[in-house]
Amino acid sequence: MSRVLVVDDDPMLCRFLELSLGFHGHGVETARDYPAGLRAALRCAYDLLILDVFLPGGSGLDILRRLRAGPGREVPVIVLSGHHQEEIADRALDAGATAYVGKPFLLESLVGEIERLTREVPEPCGDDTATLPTASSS
Amino acid sequence: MTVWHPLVVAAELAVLGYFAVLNVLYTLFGYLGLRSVVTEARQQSELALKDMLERDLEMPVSILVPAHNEERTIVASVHSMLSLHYPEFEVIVACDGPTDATLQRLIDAFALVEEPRLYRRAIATRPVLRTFRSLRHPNLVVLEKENGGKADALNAAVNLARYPLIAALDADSVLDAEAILRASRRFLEDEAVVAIGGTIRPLNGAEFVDGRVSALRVPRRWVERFQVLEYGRAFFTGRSGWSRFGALLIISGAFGLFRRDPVVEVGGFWTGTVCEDMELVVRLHRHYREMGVPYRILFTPDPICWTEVPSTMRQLRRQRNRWHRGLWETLWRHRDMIWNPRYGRLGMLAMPYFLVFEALAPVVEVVGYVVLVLGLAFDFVNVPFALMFVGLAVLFGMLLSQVAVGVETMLLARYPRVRDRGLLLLAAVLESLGYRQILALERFAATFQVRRRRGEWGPMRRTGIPAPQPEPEPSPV
Amino acid sequence: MWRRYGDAAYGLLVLTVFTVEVVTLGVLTVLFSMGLLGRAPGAVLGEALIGAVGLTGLAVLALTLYVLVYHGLTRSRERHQASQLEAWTEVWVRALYRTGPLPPMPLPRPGLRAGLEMRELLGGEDGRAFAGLLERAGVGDDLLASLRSRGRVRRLEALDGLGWARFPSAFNPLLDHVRTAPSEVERLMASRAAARTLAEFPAGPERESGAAAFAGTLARSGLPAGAAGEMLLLLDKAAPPVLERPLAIPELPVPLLRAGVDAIGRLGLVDLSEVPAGVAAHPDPEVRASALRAMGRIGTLPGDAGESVVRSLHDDIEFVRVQATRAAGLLPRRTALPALWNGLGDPSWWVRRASAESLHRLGEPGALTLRQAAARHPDRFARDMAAQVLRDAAASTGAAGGPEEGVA
Repeated sequence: MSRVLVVDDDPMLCRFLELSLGFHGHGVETARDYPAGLRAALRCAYDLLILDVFLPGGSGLDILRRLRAGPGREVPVIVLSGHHQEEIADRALDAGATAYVGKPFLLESLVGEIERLTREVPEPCGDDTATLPTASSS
Repeated sequence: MTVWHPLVVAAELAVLGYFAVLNVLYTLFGYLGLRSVVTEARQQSELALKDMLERDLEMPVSILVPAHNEERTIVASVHSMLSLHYPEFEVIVACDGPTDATLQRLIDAFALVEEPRLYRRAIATRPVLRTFRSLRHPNLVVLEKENGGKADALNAAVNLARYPLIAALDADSVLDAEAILRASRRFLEDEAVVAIGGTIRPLNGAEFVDGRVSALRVPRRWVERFQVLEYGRAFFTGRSGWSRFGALLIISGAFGLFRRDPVVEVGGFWTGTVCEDMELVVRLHRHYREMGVPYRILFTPDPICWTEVPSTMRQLRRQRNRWHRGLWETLWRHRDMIWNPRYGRLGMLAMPYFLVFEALAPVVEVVGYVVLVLGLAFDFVNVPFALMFVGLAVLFGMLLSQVAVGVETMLLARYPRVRDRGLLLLAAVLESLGYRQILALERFAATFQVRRRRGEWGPMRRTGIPAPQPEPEPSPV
Repeated sequence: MWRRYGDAAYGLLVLTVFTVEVVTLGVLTVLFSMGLLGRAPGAVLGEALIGAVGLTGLAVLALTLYVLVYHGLTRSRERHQASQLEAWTEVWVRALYRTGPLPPMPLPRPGLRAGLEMRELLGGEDGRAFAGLLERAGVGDDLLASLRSRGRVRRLEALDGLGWARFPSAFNPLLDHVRTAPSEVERLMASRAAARTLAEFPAGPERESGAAAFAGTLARSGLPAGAAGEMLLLLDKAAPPVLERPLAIPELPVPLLRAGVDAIGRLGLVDLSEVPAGVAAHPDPEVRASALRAMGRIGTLPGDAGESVVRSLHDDIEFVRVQATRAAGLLPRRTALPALWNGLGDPSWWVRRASAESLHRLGEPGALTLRQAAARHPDRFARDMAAQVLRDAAASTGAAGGPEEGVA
């Protein structure tokens, strides 16, 4: 059981991940745009983040960079993007993504990846100055 | 006096008749244009775009960017071009003898290294002094050449281009991420397509994310707002309609996609005009008509390129003056095509239309104003009638703008806020009160400056993408 | 992107408004001409003018109202649609995880949309399994029924839907549609959907026979070669049986042959390298060039294809020589090095460039020849070109290679 934050502007994808990851026992929260995504990400209440690159109001990679520069140095982040572009994958990994998953994806491998990554990192936030709110997963 | 009376009234009637015919034509184009939007919106398949992105289906494109003194914006523009959604492309920036730090900014920002480059000089240009390549972006090439004007810079870039499609792009333009993808698909699906023009919209007021336009707001100044309407109306004054009709004459210099070979074959961009974009299109038409080879030059109603428009009346007048002279230069160079049945619809309809309803329009408009003033002064004209005529003209102008705002409404993410829409509607009213008349006068003046100011550009000021910056810098070309 | 609703109504409104305006202006012009000749009294003119101003004002008002109403409706409509899509996503996810029933047919638009998007989102086996679920729910039958509809828009939407869904059962009806559709747009969309569907067939006799049918249909579809080529690339793993024997297709148009040969190269189908080799001496220069390029891309010269390459190095046509020069890198070193050395002195810039690039790709022996050429090739242009390519290579080590296209 881990807490996952999905930042993506596609409401269907959000709902899809919310439900299907839910069936696999993960609690999912979603943010639909850059400001909300950034706020949620910096709250540091999650075991893993799934980020889209192009968001209304900003780039998902910027959220990632802010996260890596501050409290979320260790949180595993999967960048999920619609286009099979090596260039985006490279930029994502440069910005500090733990993994890159392109669409379309196999559910099993996405879930497998999430489980692998959340097992490896015991603490969501490496920085102890960050407040840890109580988990709020559905 | 009595001799003059019928003359003045006749002149008024002629002006009235002229605008009546013009409006009939707008109606026709508007209808054809809307029809093409309605059908294309339904034929457009997201699937096709996805397929193109994900597989190796595309035709590689060379993006040509002529730049003179653009130190403020050039780095941001090139960044935005390098972040296009397209599998294979290169960006060629042609620095046309800049006198500011344009080249240095590029060298610093993209880690350019000088590198002599052999290429085929398919089109003669002013000497290329140096070529550079980026250590960071393998698909960026920059060349520095002696100043020769925009057309010359474009030709130098065409020489260096290595891909089968070329996109001529202004340095102050930003492409929609999928713009080239949508346009290049047409080349793939139809081998007769030689050129495609895209819809151009003012960039002023746009918000950026990652070098791409993410949202559009109505710009701050009224001059810019009026231009938003004008660019919207341009849709009705022809492009879509002419394209359907097979006689599209204008592909805006801000964004046009061409097959490289035909462009080289006809000799590239003509340096003798300030409107090299229109002239090239006319020459391509001419070339293919003369050869008797089937070809297509298309316009796509997809909004695909944003360009920075002048934000002060002074710059705007200069720009319109230049455009109008360019129109005359092109028409003059190809004057033998006008009313020439050998060129089909182009010679019999499109070219005469441009002569009568575009090139001569400001003359007729100004004559109309003069006659009106004269008539009022000498009491030939019934004052209430005259006022009502003016009212009718203003209302009709509003009508066209309103129709254009309506078209904008159907586009996703365009001026989505109610306030923005309201401002545009208001701009449609206000633009008839002075703005239009000033521009008509400027174009009227331009008509008589064609010979004297041949090929002259006049300074263009840039305020900068993405963040508007003050202190523009005049830069004579 | 354009919104797909309200535009037709808007078109109608604009047409009406403009027609009214044109008539008004016409009447005014006629009346005032008569007035000039003294045949219409001032009062009539005045009334006509007031009428015209009034009508135009009404038209402006009508358009303004439309814009505002459309704007308002769009906002609530889009919000509603987004929530509908989410609700439908939930329905489909529950069906996928067997915690909910399959939705009843006919599906509302968001239901279909959500299903199709999920189909596209899920890769490989997951995607196929989900397609099966959509089909069990009846989506396939529904789309096929729309395909037979009389409304063009409905047919186009059905074709788009089938392209997303990729139902095996729709493959033959789609091919029929390619054969019978009245417009090129429909034929193109139908063949796209068919190609995507065929690409999902598992290997086996069904894929083989499907491929044969697809090849025959595509060859007679009248689609432009560029579009046909695109369809061939969409086939992915199902491409080999389609491309195996292009010459066996009766009356295959030359552009399609070219597209097929090109697809073999782009897909890198080593097993089919005999096909381009077989047409490397084709009378059509474009086909020759495509064949040489395909072999260059695949990276093998089967059988006696090497001889065709050597012969094409002296072809009269520039772009054939360019492709031959690129493929020449695959010849045995003994033949390749001197041939490319000669190519450096070709009158065509493109051939010189291609020769230098091919030499560069040959590794150390090629680089050595290139350095020698830069120093002492008898032709000045050859020396320049060799030096240029050496510089390019040094500048972009590991970056993008030479141009694939771009030959005149």
